[in-house]
Amino acid sequence: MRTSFKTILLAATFSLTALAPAWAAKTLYFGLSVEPSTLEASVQAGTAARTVRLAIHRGLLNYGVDGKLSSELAQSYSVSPDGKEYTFILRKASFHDGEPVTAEDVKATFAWLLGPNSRATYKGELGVIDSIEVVDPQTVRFHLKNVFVPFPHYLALAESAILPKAWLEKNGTNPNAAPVGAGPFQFVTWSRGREIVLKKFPGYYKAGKPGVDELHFQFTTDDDTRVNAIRTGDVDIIEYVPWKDLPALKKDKNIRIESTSGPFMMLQFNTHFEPFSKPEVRQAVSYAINRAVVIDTAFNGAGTPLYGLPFVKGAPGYNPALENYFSYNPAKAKELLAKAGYPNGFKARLLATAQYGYHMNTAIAVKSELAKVGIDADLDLPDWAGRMAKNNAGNYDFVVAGTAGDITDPDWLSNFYYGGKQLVRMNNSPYFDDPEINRLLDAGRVTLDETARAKIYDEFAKRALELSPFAYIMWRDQSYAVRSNVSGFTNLPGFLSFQSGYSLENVTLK
Amino acid sequence: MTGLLGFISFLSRRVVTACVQLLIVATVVFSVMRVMPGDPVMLLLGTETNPSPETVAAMRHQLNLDRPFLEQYSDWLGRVVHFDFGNSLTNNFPVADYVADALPRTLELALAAIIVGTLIGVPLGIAAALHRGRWLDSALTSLATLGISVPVYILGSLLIVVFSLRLGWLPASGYTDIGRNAVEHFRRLSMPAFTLGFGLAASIARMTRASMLEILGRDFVRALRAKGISERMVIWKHVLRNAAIPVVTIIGLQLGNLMGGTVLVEALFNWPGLATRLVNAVQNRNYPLVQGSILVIAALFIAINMGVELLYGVIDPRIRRRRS
Repeated sequence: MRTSFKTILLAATFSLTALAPAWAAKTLYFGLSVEPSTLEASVQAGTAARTVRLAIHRGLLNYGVDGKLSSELAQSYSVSPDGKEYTFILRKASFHDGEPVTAEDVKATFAWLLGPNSRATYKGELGVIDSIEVVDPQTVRFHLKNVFVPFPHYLALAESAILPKAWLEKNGTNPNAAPVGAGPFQFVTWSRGREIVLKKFPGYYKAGKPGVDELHFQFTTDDDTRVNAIRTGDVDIIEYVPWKDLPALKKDKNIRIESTSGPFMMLQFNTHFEPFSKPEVRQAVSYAINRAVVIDTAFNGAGTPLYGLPFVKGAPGYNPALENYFSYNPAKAKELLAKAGYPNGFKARLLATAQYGYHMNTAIAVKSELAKVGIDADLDLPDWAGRMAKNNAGNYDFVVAGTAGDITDPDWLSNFYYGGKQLVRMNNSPYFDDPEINRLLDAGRVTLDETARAKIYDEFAKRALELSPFAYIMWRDQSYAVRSNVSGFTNLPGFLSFQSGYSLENVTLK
Repeated sequence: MTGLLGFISFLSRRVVTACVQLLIVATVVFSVMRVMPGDPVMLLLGTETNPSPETVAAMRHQLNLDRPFLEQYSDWLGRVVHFDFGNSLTNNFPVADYVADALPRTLELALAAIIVGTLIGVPLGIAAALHRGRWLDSALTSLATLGISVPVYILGSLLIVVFSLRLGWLPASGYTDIGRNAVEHFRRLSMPAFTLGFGLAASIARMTRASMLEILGRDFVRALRAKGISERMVIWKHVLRNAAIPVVTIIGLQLGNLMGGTVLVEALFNWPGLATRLVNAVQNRNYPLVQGSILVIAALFIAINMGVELLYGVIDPRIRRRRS
């Protein structure tokens, strides 16, 4: 009697298991780390939203899987000799509603993006556009107010996607409108709190792509839930693999890890007050932290120490001689502190967040390292929203930040180092305003000659290290976990890891 | 006649109390959200760059967040009494739609947990009572103690490890619409329902046992037995029926408590209910969504407790009289 009941139970469970995947034929399930707050095309609302938007939209240019600028809706472009005119020749492509992508759409997109009601994240940078000229339906010309060398890079961002003019006229102010783009997948539904469903766009301008029929983005906010979902095969790809789970996932033969060493962890100093207003003190912090301790404590060893500036090999301004400008040297740190008038150290408030383990653990490791040279860091650990508010108000002595440059052009540095009018920002060291740094960043933006430009950033690097408004700690491995039946997904190199959604057009399922 | 009038006055007093309770909840939630550090406008404008002060000010105005605190409060309260909870800050979606969409799934989970809890708890309680003092009783009582003391987070993780990761029988998390695939729907419901229902089963088992024992000791049971009625009839027809009243009450009361228990279970199993949504809304400082959701949860909790209390009154007039 007992055995037969058990058998029935077993049989029932197995038959249920067998029924399950019948409808899942060519569908890719993607586990996002959070539900996007918005899919508004011009707003950078985090990696999850970006990934979805990169499946729906394409820009004139995008960053390709090799990390280089790739011609998308524009098949080619040319720059006038004075560097102030960019002419784009559009390729034959259509939007999801079947209408062709024309120069009028391009013009309407940027007019909307720069318009009075725009919430566009890169409105400031794109504000360099003076006017847009529709030469013919397939040709569009941007006239810039001044020379702006990184311009194509800002056009390649996911937030510069081209939208249909007719759609913008109807939905430009409605953040809930179903998105329409010219990318590989078209929007189907967004079940709030659950998933966003996209389907293959048969009219996509790249023949044979995309390789899957349906794309389901599921929201798996809890780290353990997300990891379990990939291990059991409920989803095929997950983003933000928690560092603590990397070793276990690497052992799983059904899963491969795609890692990029691109984003970095750093400390921002509030330079308004002593002691962090003194460059020697900021340098001392850089000397005092054994990067290996942070990497092991907060990232399970998955990272690379950063003792200089976060410049990638080969980028303008990258100088091998400066790569290890700092070193782990507590004696030197103490010496610098004494020189600055703090032989016995000091007390300071270190802001981080308890919401993300890697932020909090970085703060804890930094605190223990700094204690060894007499700096007593008081941890302030609100949730992310609370930390953001304090960050944006400059309400901290120093703060743990984890980020990456927006673009691969060295002008990403402007966002971090430029002084100017707004001295308290998300990614700057509050009140840091050095005329020499500002001058170099300005020059870098307008210098067309590549050799001359490289020299400017070389000079910048020396000055930036001397003043050290940031203490860089490490490159962190940013990982996706991918089931072995999925091919074609690429974690874009370096800073571009957060724009890996671009490669979803290449994904195929076995 | 006086009985009916008394009941009506009792009822109206309870309704007034409930309204006052809701007003207090509304006020506390509204104030706490505003006092908490964190600015929804900055979160909305994207966290990776620095919006200009003009853009921030424009956005704040657009969301009506630039008005004085009391004005915002009275305006919100005025709309809430007309069941208008406002719109989500992130996408202008009506809060009522959010709640209407997520609440049924939370209730479904809570209900499934109650069914699981009852199906496990009642038979175990009966078995323990009938074997009082013997090894089965001690075993079941220990199991019940364990059930009450194991946190859902531990039990849930354990189930995932066994049934999803080791055996591969059940999906570790997620949700499927019942209309799309009913089998898949219940497969995904089973583990969270069991996780949530296990602790409940333990308290139901203990309540059933205690209640059974109390009734078994009554004189009328001895009388029935003396009359020569079969033991089976005594237990199933007379004892169980009398013992059921406190058990049913416990189950009713637990529905309210389960609403709270769903938070962890929903998060662990990625069940898209109201609790998961509420946590996200707090993180995004989505004021209207947090306020609306908490108010609805509070209203439900109060309504359930009121319902149970009224039921007491209906069953036992002494309770009614004592209150009036």
